Amino acid sequence: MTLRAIKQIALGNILVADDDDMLRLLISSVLIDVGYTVLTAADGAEALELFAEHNIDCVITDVVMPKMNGFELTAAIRIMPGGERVQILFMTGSDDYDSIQRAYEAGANDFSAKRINPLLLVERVRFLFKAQQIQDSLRLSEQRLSYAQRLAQLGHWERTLGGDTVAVSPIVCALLEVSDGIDLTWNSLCEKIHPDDLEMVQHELQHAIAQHTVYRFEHRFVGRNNVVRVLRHQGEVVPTDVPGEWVVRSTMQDVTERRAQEDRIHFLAFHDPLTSLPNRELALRALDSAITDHSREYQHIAIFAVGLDDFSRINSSLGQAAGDTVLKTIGDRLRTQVRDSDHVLRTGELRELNNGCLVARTEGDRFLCVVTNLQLSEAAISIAKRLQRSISAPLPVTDTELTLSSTIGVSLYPHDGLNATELIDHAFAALLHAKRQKGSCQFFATEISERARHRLTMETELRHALDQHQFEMFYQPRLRLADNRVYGAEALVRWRHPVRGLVNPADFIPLMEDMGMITALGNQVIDMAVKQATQWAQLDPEEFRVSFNISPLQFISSDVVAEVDAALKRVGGLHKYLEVEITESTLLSQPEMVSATLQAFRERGIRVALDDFGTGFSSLSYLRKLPLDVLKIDQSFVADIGVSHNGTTLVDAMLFIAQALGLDCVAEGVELETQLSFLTLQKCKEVQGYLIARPMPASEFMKWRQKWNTENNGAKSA
Amino acid sequence: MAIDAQLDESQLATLRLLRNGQLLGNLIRTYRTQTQQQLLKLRQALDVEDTANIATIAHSMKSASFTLGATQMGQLSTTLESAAMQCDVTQCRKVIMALQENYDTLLPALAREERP
Repeated sequence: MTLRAIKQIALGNILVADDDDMLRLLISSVLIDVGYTVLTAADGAEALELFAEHNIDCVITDVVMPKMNGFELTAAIRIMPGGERVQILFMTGSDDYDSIQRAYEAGANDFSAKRINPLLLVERVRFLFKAQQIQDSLRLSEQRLSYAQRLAQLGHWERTLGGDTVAVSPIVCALLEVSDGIDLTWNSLCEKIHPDDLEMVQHELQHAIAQHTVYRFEHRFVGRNNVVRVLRHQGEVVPTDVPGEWVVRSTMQDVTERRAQEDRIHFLAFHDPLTSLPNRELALRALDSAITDHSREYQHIAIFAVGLDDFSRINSSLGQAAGDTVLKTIGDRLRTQVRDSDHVLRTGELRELNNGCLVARTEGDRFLCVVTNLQLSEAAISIAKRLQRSISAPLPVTDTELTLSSTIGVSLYPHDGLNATELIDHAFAALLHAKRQKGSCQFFATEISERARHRLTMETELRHALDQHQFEMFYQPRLRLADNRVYGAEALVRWRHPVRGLVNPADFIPLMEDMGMITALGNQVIDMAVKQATQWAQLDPEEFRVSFNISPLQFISSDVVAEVDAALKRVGGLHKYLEVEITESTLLSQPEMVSATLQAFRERGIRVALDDFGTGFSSLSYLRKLPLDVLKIDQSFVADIGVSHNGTTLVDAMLFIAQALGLDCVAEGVELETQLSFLTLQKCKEVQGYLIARPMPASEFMKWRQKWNTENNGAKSA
Repeated sequence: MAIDAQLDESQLATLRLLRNGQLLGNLIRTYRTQTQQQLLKLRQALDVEDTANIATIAHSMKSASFTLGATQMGQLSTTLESAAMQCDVTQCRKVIMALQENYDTLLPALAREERP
């Protein structure tokens, strides 16, 4: 066997320093044979020069050498660049204890007495290289850890139980703003903790020490310039190598930013972004906590569900920005009212409850006020009135001043429910009930709950109805008086309920508007009306228009022109067979946008009709400015024809205005011959109403129309 | 006539493994050259009673001799280093003479091993 046959895997550069020629020859030959690169020096000074010039991994040195002995050489190498990591093996005949001690003190890694056994020397060098690799790896790992700790601002501290000294890392010193390199005492560390957090910290640590377990906590630290930071400690209580001795080992990290982000996330999750008020979820939690903490039975908790009356008009007439301003102002007013309430004890134990009160915005124009610790339930009445008064105070928005009214529903704990969900639901049920009389205040009663349940059922069924396409269109003929023929129909939506049969729009349209589902319904209406109009146009290319209604909410919340275009494209229909009907309230909403949309309809060939004229905020200037084709006189005015002089005159005036502006006039709700005669005499262009026909399914409409036109052909001739 | 000094067979056996026995000859040649020089330097140092120098030379001879398997030379070098460190010139003289004699009797063994 030769040494070449056991060639080692660890190659590296070795410097051999020995004044003995034969030993240098032996050592270098053996190491070269197993794969190392070997440099040799006959004295310490030469060795030092070689070390400075080459990248040496290992030095094998004699002790007694000319010019510079092994101890001096080792000490010199250790302070040179790269010298701290090199492995140094002393190989000498000076094997007395003093020499061995001096060698290690100078920085030797290993010591071997001569006589040299070449095989053992190879193994020893191999071990040194392995040790060096481990040390390098450890050093690298420490560097990475140190780097990561610096990046993460992760420090560590350690305290032996029973002792007062706390050993701290440089990062801990930086975090606590103390000089690096000093050990803190436990008391001086505690002084760094925010006074309000100190008890918690001590409790957590004492528990961990008693249980010999892990712990984690966060506390505030007030630093220079009173900047408050949050420090997180995570550690454990573990035994040391000394029997019976325990030590607390802990990391410390600055988590101020993370805590701020968590607080932000928490805020977003539990607050309304517009008003910064708590949302429904937080209100639920706060109320549940208040109920749990509520130990005094003779006191009450009142829950006020506040709804702004006709708020949608503000959005539609002044724009959403104005609506947002109103909501924020109302939120502030409500907060002020309940905060300053005389009926509230200022305990403020619950964080979410401000002095035992809370104002939340749950949705849209709905607010929720919770007032705890009421001595008498009757006090809720005066609070509700105060809330309403604060809302009704003049409210400046953009260039105008608004006066709002509000309706309030109230539930009381413990009388109206024993948990937060129930109480809040009951307050809103009372509000819904109170909405029948705007500006009123209604306390919860059991029958209200039953009505609320009915509404909830309706809501669920309506969502299902949309999904299942349970809505269908009925068509009411529009009669042209000039020739007594039917050239158009108004499409009217009906809900074919699987159990209750046909449901009137008045029973579900307001609810769907309230639920925010009116646009989805409107899109289905557009689809059905467009499809039907196209089918009829294919059967009878004579000019025949189908008109359909667009809700004000749909008008401002979606691109109705695009919806109509898309519906026509799907069925290959033409614009000219359509007419859209809008109400006056639509005109009040963002007039410029509305005008542009109406113009877009007209440019496509779709006629635009103003429905229910005279019932809303009738403004002649709108009639002049907006691109309209048709004016539809509301049936309430038509009903007055022949009944009162003023009523008849009013319709006459409307017809005159329409004619003067070049608009076609359609009278709605014609039920009597006298009405028809008057309207014919006054040259109203078209009429619709039960006198002509009730709304009917599409399948019956064309047959009916054909019959009417045939039967009344003579009338035309006459 | 003195009996030839012997080399330690176990140490030699290890050294013979190196480079298929080729290294041992070089080692012996180097040893011979430096030992002859060291013996000369020892006598010169003894003449001027330079015990410090004697101790240094003896220390060097000790390591090389033990390593080559020249055990008696190594032991005598150890004794000489000790005597020199105690400045015992008389003892140094005796040991240096013994070293020379031992080296002379070692030469045949060295010559045998030096041959390839």
